[in-house]
Amino acid sequence: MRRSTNSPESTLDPIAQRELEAIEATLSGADVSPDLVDIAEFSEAIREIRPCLDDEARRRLDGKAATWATRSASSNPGARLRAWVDAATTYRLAAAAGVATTLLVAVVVGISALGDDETPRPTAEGVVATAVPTGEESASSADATASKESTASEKPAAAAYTADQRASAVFEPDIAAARFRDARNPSAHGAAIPLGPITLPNELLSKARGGVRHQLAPTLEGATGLVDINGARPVVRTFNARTSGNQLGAGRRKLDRDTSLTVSTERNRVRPVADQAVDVVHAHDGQVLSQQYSFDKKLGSSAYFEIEVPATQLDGLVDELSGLGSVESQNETGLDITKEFNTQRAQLADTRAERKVLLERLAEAVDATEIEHLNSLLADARTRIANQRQDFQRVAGRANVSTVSLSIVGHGEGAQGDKKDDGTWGLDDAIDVAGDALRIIGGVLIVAAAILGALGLVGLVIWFAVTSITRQRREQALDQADTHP
Amino acid sequence: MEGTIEAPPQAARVKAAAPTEAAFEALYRTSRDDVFAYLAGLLRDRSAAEEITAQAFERAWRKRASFDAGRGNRRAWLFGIARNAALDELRRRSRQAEMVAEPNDEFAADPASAADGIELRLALKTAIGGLEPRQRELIALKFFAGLGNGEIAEVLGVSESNVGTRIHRTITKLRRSCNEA
Repeated sequence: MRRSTNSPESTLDPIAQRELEAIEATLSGADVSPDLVDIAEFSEAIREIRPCLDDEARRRLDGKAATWATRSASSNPGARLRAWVDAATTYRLAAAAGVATTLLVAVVVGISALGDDETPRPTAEGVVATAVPTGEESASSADATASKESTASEKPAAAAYTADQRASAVFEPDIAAARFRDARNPSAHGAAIPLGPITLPNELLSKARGGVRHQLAPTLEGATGLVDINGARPVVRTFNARTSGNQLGAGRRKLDRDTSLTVSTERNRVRPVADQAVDVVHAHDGQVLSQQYSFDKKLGSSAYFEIEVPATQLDGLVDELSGLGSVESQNETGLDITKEFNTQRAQLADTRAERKVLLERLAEAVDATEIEHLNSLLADARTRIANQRQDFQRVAGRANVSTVSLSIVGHGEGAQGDKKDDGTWGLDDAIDVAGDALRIIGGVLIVAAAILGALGLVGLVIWFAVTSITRQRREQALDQADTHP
Repeated sequence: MEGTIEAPPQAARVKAAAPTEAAFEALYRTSRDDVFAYLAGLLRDRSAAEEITAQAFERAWRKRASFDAGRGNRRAWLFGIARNAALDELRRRSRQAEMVAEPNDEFAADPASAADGIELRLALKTAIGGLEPRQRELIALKFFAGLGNGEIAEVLGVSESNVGTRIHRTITKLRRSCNEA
């Protein structure tokens, strides 16, 4: 509270300073200069009218003092708490409140963090699903959509999701089967809505984790991208129109379908399951384009296949491959190539018709120059027919043949690939757990510090305001003391 | 100032307690009369001064652990608490405004004093009673409670030089009042 150490000499004139010194000397019992005797006597007179306690009042005060001591010595916990609060300084109260708040925040954040850790979280930006119309009424608009949207760039986008999400997206065959049936029966959901590619942002994924099963289904079923929420363990799943070409009318609809499937099995059964997968592919008239088998001491073993199969066999093949183990993820993309197919076919038919007309004209031609000209046109038509036939066959091949990417991983190597498979718990696991614990604790402390800082700031402002107002009112009370004697 | 002060009945127990409590007891013994004198001079009411003195010491007792020797001396800390208690009493009075006259005005004219012929004391009491509250408080702190200028500066929250200036101005005013009387 000391505001300044300035001495009186700095602001008083010499006479006043001498008088003050004389007052001080008088009050301390010292002699003063003869010319200042009057002020010394005056000071002495003031001191002599000092109000004094009489014996009775002194005893009363001492009695009250004894009460405080008795209260202090009380062993009553309530009294001790009251005494502690009474004696508590602002700093002590702030520290206690801070500790309590920190503990509270730490508990809440810790519980939240533990809860979040138990929930699988997709790491990709979102889920990309290519929409494919499923109803006849939407064919024209679907053609327009397909012609504009079904570009080669979309398939890598879907494939990218597949690769990124494979570890976290979990596929449940029974629910998927129901979805597939729905997709095959468009009337069950009314007319399908033709939509272009859909990006499902993480905000919606967060909502999907809200615990309501099929919360986003109405939105996504129309686009044939499905998100299911399966109770306490949300399952995020995406795949495109599960509509095979033959079931949608092979004469009208042509789909280019790709499927990726990840199946887990026991660690020591990866190889036998891979062999079974090859047999299943052959049984469905498919062929294995490439296969890869890898083994890592830490990560375990895995197998990867690129498979081609007739489009009509795709569903059966996927069903059987899914039965080889536990399905970890499944992603399907379907690209409508009907317009491209029809265009290629029409161009080929037109060129063939043109060739037929030319042949007819050639049979009737007699002039050598005309014959030569017609032969030239026929050669050109044959070249175009050859090229168009190749293009058409390529499109037809895409519609008739589907590709399947199959991954077989050892049991538990998906999301927990860094853990040992033999069930033992070693130093690496301990370090991992310790790291996780430190990360959570650090996060909790940061959040707690942020909240505590904000609360402390607010408390400080309130404390300053209350203190200032109280001080101001006290000073006003002193100034007005004579008006309220 | 403590020669005739009786120790509280629980003094022995207080002495045996923590050093802070023993020091507080010493502070009580040495400052009790000074605090009363200051409060009586400020409030101009002996009974209220006695009551506020008790309140001030009780507040100080409760907050004895909060005393920080680095921020000032113990007497200044105690008188700061006493001053706040007195100002709270003044606030309470201003809210209630129930006292029409001060029955125990410490500085009211005392016929007995006049009879004794102590004219200067009578004039002084009258002059002090006519001072502004802040000047009267300064006189109470300096001459009744016996605080040094540094301690008064701590209590009032002003500089020590400002205290000296105020004291001189107040004394000058008092002398003039007494001379006029």
